[in-house]
Amino acid sequence: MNCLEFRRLCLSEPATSTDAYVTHRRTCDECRRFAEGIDVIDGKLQNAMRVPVPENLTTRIKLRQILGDEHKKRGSRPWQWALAASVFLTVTLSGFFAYQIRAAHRYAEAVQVAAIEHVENYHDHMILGGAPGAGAPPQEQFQQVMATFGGRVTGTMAPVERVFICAMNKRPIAHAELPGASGIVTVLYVTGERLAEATEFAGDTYKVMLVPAGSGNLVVLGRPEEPLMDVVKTLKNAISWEI
Amino acid sequence: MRRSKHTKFAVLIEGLSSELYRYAYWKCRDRIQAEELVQETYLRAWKALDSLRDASAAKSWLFTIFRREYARQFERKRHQEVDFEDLIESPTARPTYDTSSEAFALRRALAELAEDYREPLVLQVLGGFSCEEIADIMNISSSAVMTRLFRARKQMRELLTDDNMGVNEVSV
Repeated sequence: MNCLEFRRLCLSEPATSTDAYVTHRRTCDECRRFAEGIDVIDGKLQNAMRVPVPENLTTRIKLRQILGDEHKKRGSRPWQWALAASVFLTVTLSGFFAYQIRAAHRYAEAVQVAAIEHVENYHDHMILGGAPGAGAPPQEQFQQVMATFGGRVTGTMAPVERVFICAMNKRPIAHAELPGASGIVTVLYVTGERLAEATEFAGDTYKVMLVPAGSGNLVVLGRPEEPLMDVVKTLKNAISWEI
Repeated sequence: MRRSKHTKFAVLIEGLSSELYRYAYWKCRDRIQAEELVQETYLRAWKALDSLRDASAAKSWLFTIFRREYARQFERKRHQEVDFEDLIESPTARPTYDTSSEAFALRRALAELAEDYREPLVLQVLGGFSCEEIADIMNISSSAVMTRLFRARKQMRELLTDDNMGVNEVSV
């Protein structure tokens, strides 16, 4: 291999390890310096190209997979359907989380992701001690938990089966489960960035509605066939929010 | 069997999504589009995961899916040229981004390359692919890849020399 051939190969595939290339690099000082210069530029270019990866990219990829897989979990993980059928009432989403999301639709998507993740793993995030109204009947406990997030339950609610205060993204959230038409429904309320309008996200596994309320958003989550709008209307009529 | 598929897919996500996103970004030069494409790529990868027989080829397999998805969604559209300044995030908002003047000059030089030259260079420098692998991903010959890489680096050096980056002229 002569110097011209070496340099052509060096500009095309500098990491090549063919014997002729390696030997020439070792024996020709001028070409070695040339190759070292290419290595330096490539290294700097690699660093320069490392644009930041969005904070929750892997989570959103997993969500797309969950929602896009028609066969997923129906048979193999039925317990998740029970969770999917619960109602999330109030989710406090961190301001930090909102800070990371630029556009409103991105924020809504992030809330949906976090909500579904929470439904699937909420047992790991329940804060059992210190929840307002702990030990009281669920309906009463629901009123007290909502009050801590600025919501005043004044209207008629569907029977509340269970109420928790949980942690999501290291922030407290209220979590309630209500009986739905096709299973339990779950609702979250996310304080933080309030959405401009209600949004709905329907997948094969979950249907999620986000509704601006108070200083955050209600997230209502259930099975795809669940008439979530009925639940949302009930919640809107039953809860008034501090401004 | 199903668990195995989920595990394999999780490894693909955890191991390659960052690299794929960065490649997508340099392909699209738009963060929103890049992420949407990456998500769509993974969705397609999930559906086609059974066709991945050789785990060592997973990376090029995924990047190939991405390119097909990119072609399907965007190639027929006329891209709006992105102002170079738009490629640079606010340093305060993205503290991990290299905001040195040298990195700035490198990104500008890269952005000035023709797409045919930029893409194999990104795949090689950022993705670590060999010429053979790039040829498979881009569905062109290996010799064409080598030619494009040669020209890409030569142009980069010329552009960086113009920017007083201290790069010596290439004597090839």
